[in-house]
Amino acid sequence: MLSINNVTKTFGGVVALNKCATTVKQNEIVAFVGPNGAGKTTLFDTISGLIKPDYGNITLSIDDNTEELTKISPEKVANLGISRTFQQVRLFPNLTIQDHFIIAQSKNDMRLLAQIVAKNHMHEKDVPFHKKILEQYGIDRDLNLYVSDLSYGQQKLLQIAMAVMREHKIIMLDEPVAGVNAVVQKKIEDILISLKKAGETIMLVEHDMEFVRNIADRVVVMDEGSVMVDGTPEEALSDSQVLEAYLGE
Amino acid sequence: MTQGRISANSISVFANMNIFIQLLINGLIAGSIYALVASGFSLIYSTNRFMHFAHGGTITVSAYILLTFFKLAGLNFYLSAILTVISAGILGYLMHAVLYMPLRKRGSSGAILLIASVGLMILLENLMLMIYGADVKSLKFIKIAKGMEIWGAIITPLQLVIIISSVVLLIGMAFFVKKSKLGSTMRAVADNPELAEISGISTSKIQGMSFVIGSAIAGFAAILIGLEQNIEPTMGLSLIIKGFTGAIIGGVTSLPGSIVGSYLLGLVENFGIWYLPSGYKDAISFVLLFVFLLWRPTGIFGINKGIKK
Amino acid sequence: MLTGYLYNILIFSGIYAILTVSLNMAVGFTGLLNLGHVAFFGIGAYTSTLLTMNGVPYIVSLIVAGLVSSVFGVILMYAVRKLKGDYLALATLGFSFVVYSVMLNWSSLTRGPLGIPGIPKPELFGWTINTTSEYLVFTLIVATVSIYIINRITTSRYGKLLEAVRDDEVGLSVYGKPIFSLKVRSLAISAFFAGIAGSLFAHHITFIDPSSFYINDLVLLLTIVLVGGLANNKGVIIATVIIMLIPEALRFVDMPSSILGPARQMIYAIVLIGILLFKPRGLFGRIDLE
Repeated sequence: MLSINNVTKTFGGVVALNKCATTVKQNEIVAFVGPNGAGKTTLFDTISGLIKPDYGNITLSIDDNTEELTKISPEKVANLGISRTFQQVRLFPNLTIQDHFIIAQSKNDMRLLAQIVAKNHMHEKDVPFHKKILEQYGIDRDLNLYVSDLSYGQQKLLQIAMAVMREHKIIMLDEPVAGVNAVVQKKIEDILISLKKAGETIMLVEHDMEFVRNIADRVVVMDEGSVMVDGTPEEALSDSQVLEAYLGE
Repeated sequence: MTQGRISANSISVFANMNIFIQLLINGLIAGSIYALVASGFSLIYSTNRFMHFAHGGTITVSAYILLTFFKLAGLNFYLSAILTVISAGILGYLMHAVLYMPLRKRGSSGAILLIASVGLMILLENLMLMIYGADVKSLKFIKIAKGMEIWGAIITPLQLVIIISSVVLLIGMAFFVKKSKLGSTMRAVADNPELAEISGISTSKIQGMSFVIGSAIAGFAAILIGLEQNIEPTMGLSLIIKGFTGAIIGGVTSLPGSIVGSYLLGLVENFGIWYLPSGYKDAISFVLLFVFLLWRPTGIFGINKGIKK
Repeated sequence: MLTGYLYNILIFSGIYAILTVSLNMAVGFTGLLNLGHVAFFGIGAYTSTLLTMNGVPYIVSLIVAGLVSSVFGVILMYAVRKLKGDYLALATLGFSFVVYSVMLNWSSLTRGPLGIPGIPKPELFGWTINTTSEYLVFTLIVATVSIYIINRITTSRYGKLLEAVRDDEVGLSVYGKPIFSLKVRSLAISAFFAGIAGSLFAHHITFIDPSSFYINDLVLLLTIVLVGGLANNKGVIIATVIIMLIPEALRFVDMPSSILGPARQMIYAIVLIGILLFKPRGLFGRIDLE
């Protein structure tokens, strides 16, 4: 479905990605592991179209239609069905929770004239639906609360909810549990397990090896911008090179 | 800056040569003034990291201070000039201490400081307008001297003084920044304020010093302009536009860059009126500013330290 | 006499309310620190003036004034698309200077610093708006419609997208929203209403010259928006009326007019600096300037 072909990217002489290559199949959960600076986030940013690679390309194939993601803008990539979260939450601090849901959900919100003349130009009818999502994600707050008033864990949860609720083919989660407390971590892991059950295609950056073993269908170990090992969790996490380079065992 | 008299019907090669030299001289005179404005602006920008638009206000106020000391109080001209430079330095420090420092303490961005600075500029301009009125004032210190002829172009002794004293001051300043202890501390702050702070340099003190020195240079520029031209409340606005255009053309964090950029601006503006009516002089510099901001905000030398992506 | 004076203040408040609410759409909602709004104001004023004086019906001139300003808004946004923060502010300020300089020097069109006198009063479907009270009604109608439209936009889902651009562009792009298109449209709409305000202004005072559309006015607009609070339309309208009224108090002090003008400008500048220093979110806002 997603094919990453020898992607190379350097930032002022520092190699962030070095002939990085792997694939993601439909309904597959792929975990990306590796030390800090291995290039995992750069890879996600390149897939999103936020970074253009120096060499190589990334393609997304849906049915018989193949698009080269590395040639199009981030918004086009997103509209092809790539959803994502950021390791450091990127939300809109001066908007409410409901505004966030509307942004994630709406597809026709660029139709300006229609909204000027329309009677009901916000999504009032969606309030029950939005409340249900808050409940599902364990965010016990009011829909009209500004996001800057949420706790960090709640912001992380909201970010995941937004990535899931928009129309998508693949979800990329960059360290979803980094920086949150144990309760929120458990909640997020439960959500991931339910997403797996629902047959989602997920790319995940994660450091908790125990959890990776439980959830991932495949593990891609990265180091210095390249893929070191690519295989089942058992294979990847028992590889001697990996143990040495990354886990330090 | 000056009115080079160009007869439109002179078509011979010699006449063209004369025009060329006249425009070159006019360009150098304008460039010298711009360089003085730009160097102070650039010095302040490099340690403070924001665009001190009210630098133009410092020039206006300084010119009126000179007028007050020399014409109204009847002091000796050279004494008045020295007092003007000192007052300009004090004014710069006050701006820093009263307005910019408190804003900085609140964590205001460069954009907010710029807006505050635009407000301050308008405040000073209108203060002068209120006190001294809208009519142009003249120092009349130097009797209008007959210009010397150099290769068919005219230059007055005063204009020669402007060019020479600017060049001397600018070279002196470049040496000061490069060689002196305070200069190297300033460069350290400009390069990396956090690091400088850690290594025991008081960043805010150095920022204040930059304001004092930069504004004193603006005071010096005001004296030269006051001698060459009339004094009016709006003089600072057009000069600061020229000054920061020069600075941005050359690379705003670099002192030598700003100086070169300013001379380039002076020359382009003056040679531009070979083709365009002289009223478009300002438009030429605005267009140049715009072009550089859009395509090369780091300036011709591509110095990009301190420029936000 | 007194009513005429009061009507005048209200007319100016109406015109400035359009200007500041539209500026707020770009600066407060979209986060585009545009210091070129006075240029759009001026472009609208000159466009409308020149058209009506050449026999174009007023209503057409009014709309075209908005459209021409809007086109310049699009051009400006294309030009500054890569800039942010203080560089964006400086470039848009530069745009104000360029437009001012053209108004001043393109004498064959604008009569340069002499300005254009004798601008006709508007004529709408046979109704000539002659008296001050009639002009007040007309201004209030145009202002109400303009502000209503802008308010509809800013409170809609589209408006939330604009606010999201302000808060985090990159964060918004991954939800599939076209950032640049949002910015261009925001500035185009903002400029359109500035152009409309320009037309109202020109036909009210019946004389325009470049000095009405320069940095002094820019400071006034910024002061109002910052006092009212970024991204707060209601606050900005209230601030417009307050700030328009403050200097009127000076009239009751015995002051020569040569001092009155600068004193008024100084008040605006002091309020601007004061609000940045002591209440950067304005009287009614909750958003910090980036």
